[in-house]
Amino acid sequence: MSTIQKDMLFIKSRTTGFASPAESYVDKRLDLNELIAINPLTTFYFRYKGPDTLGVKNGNILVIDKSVDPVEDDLVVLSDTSCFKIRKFEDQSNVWGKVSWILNKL
Amino acid sequence: MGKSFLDIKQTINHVKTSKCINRWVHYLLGIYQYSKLFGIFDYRVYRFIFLRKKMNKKIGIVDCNNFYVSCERVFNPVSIGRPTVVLSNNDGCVIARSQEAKDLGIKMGEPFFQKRDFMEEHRFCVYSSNYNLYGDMSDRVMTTIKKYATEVEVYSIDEAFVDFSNIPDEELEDRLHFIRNEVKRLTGIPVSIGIGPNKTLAKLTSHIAKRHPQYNGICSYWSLPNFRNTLYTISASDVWGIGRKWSKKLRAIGVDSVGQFIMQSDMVVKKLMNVNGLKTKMELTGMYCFPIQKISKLKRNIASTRSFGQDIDSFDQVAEAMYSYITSGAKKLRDNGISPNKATIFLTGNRHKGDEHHTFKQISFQTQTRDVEEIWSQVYPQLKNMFRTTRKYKKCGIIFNNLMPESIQQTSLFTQPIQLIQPPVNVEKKWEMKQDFISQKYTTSWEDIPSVFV
Repeated sequence: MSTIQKDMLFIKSRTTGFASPAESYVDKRLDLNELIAINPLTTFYFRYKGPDTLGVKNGNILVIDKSVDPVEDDLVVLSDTSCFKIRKFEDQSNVWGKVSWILNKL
Repeated sequence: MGKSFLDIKQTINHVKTSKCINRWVHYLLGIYQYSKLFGIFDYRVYRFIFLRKKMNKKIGIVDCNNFYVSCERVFNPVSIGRPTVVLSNNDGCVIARSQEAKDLGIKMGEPFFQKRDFMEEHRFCVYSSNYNLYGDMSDRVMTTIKKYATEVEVYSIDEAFVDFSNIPDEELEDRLHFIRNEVKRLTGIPVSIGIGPNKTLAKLTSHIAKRHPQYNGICSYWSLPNFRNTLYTISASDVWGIGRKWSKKLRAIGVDSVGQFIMQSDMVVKKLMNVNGLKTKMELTGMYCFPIQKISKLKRNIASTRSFGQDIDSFDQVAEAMYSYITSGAKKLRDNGISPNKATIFLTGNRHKGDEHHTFKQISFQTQTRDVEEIWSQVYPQLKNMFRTTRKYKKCGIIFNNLMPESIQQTSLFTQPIQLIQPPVNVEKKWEMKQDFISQKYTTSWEDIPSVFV
């Protein structure tokens, strides 16, 4: 929690002037982790290197959640004999994990 | 009238029985205290206490298979199917082996340089130890296990004791298979589970399971055929809690196997080892003596030590290394919220080159401190005294003792201000670790995340 947020929470103790009208509306600011890494334990990050395919560009970060089982046409990372490869899921046996997010820096 | 009379009678009876129990408790406590004084009847008393502790527990040990190798294999598909080893700090010796490497006869702790050619010939995958990766993967595995059990004691980086007592017998096997599959699915690390009535037997069961692959990673003490006979084929030194020192002592009285060990009398075991040895023996016969400790005990001491990448003969280098170990030690102290008031520093020669030189010095700090500058200022003069320019050193380190939580701070009445000494600066780091085959910090550094290709 940032210092500003902490100050907001303890705003009551500072009784100078008027009480903040936002006092009863203090909420946690949005955090990307709640969206992308819902299960931080099973979330891994990979970087894609290669030509643009399947909507993934060179240098994109792939977020992989191992707790989710892939279904047909999902983007998956396969552990091939020598390296990791990105493919569409078609019942392959060597699936490392399902790609849940592609982070693309503009 | 009659009812109240009965009530009173019941109350009196109740008081009587509780007094009676009280007396018995005092009587037993008395025996216990006296026996402690004399020592000789000790074992009988302990036995009495432990006999009552025969409980129907189901203790499991969840053990990651070849943990370091498994971690590397999650992120290096190349090594899957190839013999793989992980080396210790400084690439000294082998500390983890894949099954293929074991089959090729690589021993635990074998010096790497002796086997280098052999490994190249057999297309080994060799990795330097990458504790950033192993630490993170261990945390993932342990947290996954904690989701499925309430009582979990994380025993080491790759093992955890788990209490499965609340699971009914008939569901147990399915449950264990489920946990094993979940850990493998969620983290990619294969685990095996041994289960028994107590920690020692759980460990022994998992030891047996490892030697027999047909158990498929799940092995129960109750399903082992001829357990008593199997005990005679297992060496006593393989039992959890019996170390090198005790197994040597046991061998001296002709005890080699576990079966022979449990045939010894309590008296003999207690005298030869100590009460923990006796507890181990009792656990081997099915009693429950070592409970699961959910919360780890406060650490007794914290060591920050490592060997150098090469032999060092300059004081500046040693000082620089010592300063960096103090810094990392102080971080550990801060993380645990404790501070020491004593420390031991030591310097060691290269034992592999026949130099058995080892000097150490205990330092009492003026006050409890974990401030790097304060510690350094008090360590530096002692280090300077210890150092001999004629010698070469391979290892140095600092061990912090007398650790107290922050809240218990004792200040001395007569403290003199510490004369602060400058930390070493701009020294070429010759002492840094040799890590020729280190893999990347795949899960803890954005620069190191693994790459995916088309």
